[in-house]
Amino acid sequence: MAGSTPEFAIKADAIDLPTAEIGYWRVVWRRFKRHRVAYVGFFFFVLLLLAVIVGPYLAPYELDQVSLSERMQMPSAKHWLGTDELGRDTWVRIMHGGRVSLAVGLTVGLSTVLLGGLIGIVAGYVGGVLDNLLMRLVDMIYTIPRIVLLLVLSKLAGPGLLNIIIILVALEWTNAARLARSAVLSFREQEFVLAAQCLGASRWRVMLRHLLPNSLAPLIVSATLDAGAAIRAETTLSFLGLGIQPPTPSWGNLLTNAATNIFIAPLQVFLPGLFIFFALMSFNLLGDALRDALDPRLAERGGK
Amino acid sequence: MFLYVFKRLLQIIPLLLVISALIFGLLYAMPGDPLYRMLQDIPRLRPEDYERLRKLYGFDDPFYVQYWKWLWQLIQLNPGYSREYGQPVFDIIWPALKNTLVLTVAAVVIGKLLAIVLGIFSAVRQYSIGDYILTAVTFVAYSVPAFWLGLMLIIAFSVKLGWLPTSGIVNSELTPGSWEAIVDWMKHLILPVAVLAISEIIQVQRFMRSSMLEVLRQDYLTTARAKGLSEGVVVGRHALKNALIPVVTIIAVTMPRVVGGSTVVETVFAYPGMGRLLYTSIMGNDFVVAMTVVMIIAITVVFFNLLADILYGWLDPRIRYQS
Repeated sequence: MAGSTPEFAIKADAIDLPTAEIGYWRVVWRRFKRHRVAYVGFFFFVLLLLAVIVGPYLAPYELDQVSLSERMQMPSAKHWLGTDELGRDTWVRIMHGGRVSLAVGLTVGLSTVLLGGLIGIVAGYVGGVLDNLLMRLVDMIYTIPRIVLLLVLSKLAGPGLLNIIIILVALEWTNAARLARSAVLSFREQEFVLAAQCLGASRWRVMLRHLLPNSLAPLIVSATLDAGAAIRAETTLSFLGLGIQPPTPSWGNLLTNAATNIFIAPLQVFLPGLFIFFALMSFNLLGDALRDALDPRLAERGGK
Repeated sequence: MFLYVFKRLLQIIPLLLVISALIFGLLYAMPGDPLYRMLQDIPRLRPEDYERLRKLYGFDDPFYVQYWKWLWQLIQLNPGYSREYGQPVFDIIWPALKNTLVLTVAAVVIGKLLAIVLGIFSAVRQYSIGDYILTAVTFVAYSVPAFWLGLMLIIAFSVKLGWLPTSGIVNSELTPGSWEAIVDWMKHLILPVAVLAISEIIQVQRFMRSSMLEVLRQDYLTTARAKGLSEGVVVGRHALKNALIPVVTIIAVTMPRVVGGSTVVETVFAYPGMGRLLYTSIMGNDFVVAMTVVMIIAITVVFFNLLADILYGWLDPRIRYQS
């Protein structure tokens, strides 16, 4: 490889590229650290993640441990967040539900960006008929109201963790695809792409080694916001009885379950929603902070 | 301009066809055909009878034949009968449509107006305490799921205070048309309208603020002030006109989202509108109703998207559409 590469390319590799790359991420990290909002968001996120991982083991109850003598209790030293209508411990159930809801959010956030990013980069770089077809598909998914597709698809697929993840990814990759495509279009004609092409890089190499790293900034922000959107969609669907269904707990179906006893135990309705709110909040804060850190030009327009 | 609108209207037709075929196909693929559910309650029915009826009603036709039959009926404004209620689809949809229109129009008007006023306030008093509080509140509220907000309002105003009803739309004990009935109906509306309006405010307030801030920086406002115009006229007349341009577009584009929002809100409050009908008809395999509701929603969405584009060009003379 080295023998056949022209000399100037080796020089560029050895001197210019590494410093430029490290420099960018170091600057990003510095800006992220300076961002107060980032701390709050990150703090909440880590706290939630730790809670759902460790949380169930902190209380001496099983997920489905019924205790009919302790139905719908208020919080106490024995049951930190009280109990539901069958005397099951709410803390344990919310923590287990959080595992499901957060797992959906993180998986969907990551997958939409991988899938959408790839599709967007290919569409932007290859162009032509393929680009046209893919973008009409994106428009299509945008035009049909999200709630219609969510209801129909989740009814068709049936309940289940994997099904809901697939449906959400299938609907939400469009954001990342648009972002990646417009990023690629903006530097498709730039010199570094031309240089790579001239050096004989294959299409895939240009897309994965040159275009992907340069489109990463909007994609990372999109992943964070998509994860939040996924949690919102999953909890909404589960609340409507279509997403995750009992006995598997999710923040959404815990809420539905508690809502039937809203007059007797309103606190049990409040608590799962509070955790959904914390999760959405932390992802939105993180998304905002990351957007500011990754691209200071965007920070000016998006409010504080 | 006229040609542009005409062209866009022509593009809408294939778009609606593709959407309807897609949703029809998804519903078609669902297990359990309508006939099977309908005949479950008749014990004397033999499998042969079931097959015979399937043939009679055309449920064994391939997808495209069924789709075409459905489409042809819809074009003649005869969408069929609801399986669940045994009534013509329109008889079920009209009351729901009326209820949803009341709910969404009230929420949209209140929500958008408040959002615009609050946005102007935030921009004019940038970095004041009021602006900080508003910005913080809208950011926090953005992360509150609508169904939870609805349930919290129920807990506060129905469970704790007992002021407002939890769900539904009418109290059957009151004589229809009487004062009490009208007051009661309004009381039923307050909470669902509030939840929808709050989500409207969250969506639009930030846009109004940043759009206004951008306009306030421009030179022509200094000119207006230099002419000796009062600040109220400068902001309210000169700045507002230009600041509203992007906001109007955002409003038109986000209108279809009201549909999604109202599905959740109507379900939480058991409000008998289109959103709830969409939900119950899909859940109950009432496909003819579901398809008609989906088509009405799709037409609304497409219409508002077109409206957004037209308004944008009309309000901003710098944009010209080539026909």
